[in-house]
Amino acid sequence: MTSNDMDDGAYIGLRSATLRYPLQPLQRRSIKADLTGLLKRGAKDARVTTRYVTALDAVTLDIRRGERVGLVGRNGAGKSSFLRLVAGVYLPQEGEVIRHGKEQAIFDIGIGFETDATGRENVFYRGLVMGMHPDKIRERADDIIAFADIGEFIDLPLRAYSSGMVVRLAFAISTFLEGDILLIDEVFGTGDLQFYNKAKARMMDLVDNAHIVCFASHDLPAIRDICNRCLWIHGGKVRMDGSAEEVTKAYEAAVVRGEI
Amino acid sequence: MTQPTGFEPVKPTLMTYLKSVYAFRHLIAHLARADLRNRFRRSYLGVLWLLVNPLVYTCIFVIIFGAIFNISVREYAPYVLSGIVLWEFISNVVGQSTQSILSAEGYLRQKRIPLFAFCLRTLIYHFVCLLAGLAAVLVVVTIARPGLPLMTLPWLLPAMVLLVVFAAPIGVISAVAHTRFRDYQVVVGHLLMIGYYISPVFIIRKEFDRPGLRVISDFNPITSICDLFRDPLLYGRVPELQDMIVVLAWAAVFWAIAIFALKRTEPDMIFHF
Repeated sequence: MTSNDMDDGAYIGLRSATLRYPLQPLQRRSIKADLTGLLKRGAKDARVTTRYVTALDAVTLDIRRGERVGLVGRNGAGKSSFLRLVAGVYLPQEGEVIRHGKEQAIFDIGIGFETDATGRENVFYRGLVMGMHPDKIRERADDIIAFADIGEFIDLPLRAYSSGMVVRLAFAISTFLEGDILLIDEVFGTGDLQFYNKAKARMMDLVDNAHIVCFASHDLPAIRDICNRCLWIHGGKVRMDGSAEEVTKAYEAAVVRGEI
Repeated sequence: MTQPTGFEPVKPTLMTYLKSVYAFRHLIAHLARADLRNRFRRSYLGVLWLLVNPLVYTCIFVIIFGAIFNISVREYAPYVLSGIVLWEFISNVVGQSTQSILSAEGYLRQKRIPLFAFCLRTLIYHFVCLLAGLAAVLVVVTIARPGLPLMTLPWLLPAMVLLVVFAAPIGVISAVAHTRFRDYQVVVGHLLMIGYYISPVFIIRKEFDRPGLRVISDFNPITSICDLFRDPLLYGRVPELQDMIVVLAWAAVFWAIAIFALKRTEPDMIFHF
């Protein structure tokens, strides 16, 4: 990589990055299981044979400023893992992830709230979690609250909210933070139609202003609409990398043919 | 060339790690404040509970053990109250830190944040409770023993610093250990119970100077911590150097374990929720 590439600012680079999820923590070890395991020595122990699930397998790629990258693939293909790896939530066990620029993650937006605190307080906490300065958050709090548009609920504890309200608040907060690298994981769930339209407009606005966008979705028209590049991820590897048009077509065709 | 921003997690040095903790200082402060607020959010007595609780215990201990040990209320009340306040701090940091990392899952799934930040959140919360407790001790002392020299009170500051330096790594160990092994909380609950009885919390200090018990009290850091606070607070004495050394030595051991544990477990802690 030449120094010129870096001058462009925002950049994502993966160098044979491999991400594995260890399964051992999820399999509840207990003394009972260990003892019965000893008695049944002959039987194959499932815990030993599958220690890891490989979510991303030696992926190497560059994403530069100006690229809007769509991520397609089946459930469990590695799209979300890719976004979380770029965000730094997961670290690669092998290889390297390079990120230049501040990331703005729009995934799992409904979690990480203090349910005993009010909506207003949570706006503040979420901003702090994302690394913003308190002054900046105060500056934007009014905009966020206006966008969420949940009325006087904003001063009630979150446990009083309907699930739709939580989503609205979460969406408002997440999209009013700052970042050059936008990482989006299929966010449109609950929320009424009116909010959906508002959210979509807001999202397009964000996409326009971000330096890099990575957008995982099953909504292929949306990907063709937004993205100028698309990665088809399959079994933890990049199966195809090209223009959004080309890759989504190929992916669609493969699904129709029943190949994947 | 732009510098990588955010928390650079791969093999951080102590310096870069502390820097990343510092970057989240506002978050730590606000979460600790939220914890304090939430604790009393819908309670009528509110913050007063911080004082009511130890005072009620003190009354009971004074009635029962004051009679057993045969000492006056004036002498025993400040003693027991200070013991309870200090013990509460230590046992709460040890016990409740088990949730420090676990309860941060929602945050950690969105952003890489140094785990130590969440250990600090718990520590700060309990430290504020400790300050309230110590204020209560001060009030009881002035009532029970008017005319006690106040010259030695500044020695409470180094005592507090030592206490925090001692408790912080234990909080980290609890947080890491419990996230990895959910048996930890049960085990540590029993250990705390033992600690309660081999420390001069409510049992009179000089009982621990008997030949058989001397060994325990000489090496028990909680005994030294109690001495560090009671000497200036109750007896107008300057704390002893030996107590400071004992506390610092234990703190060094706990810090070594805590740093090792964090280093080993932090990169893939996210998989253990």
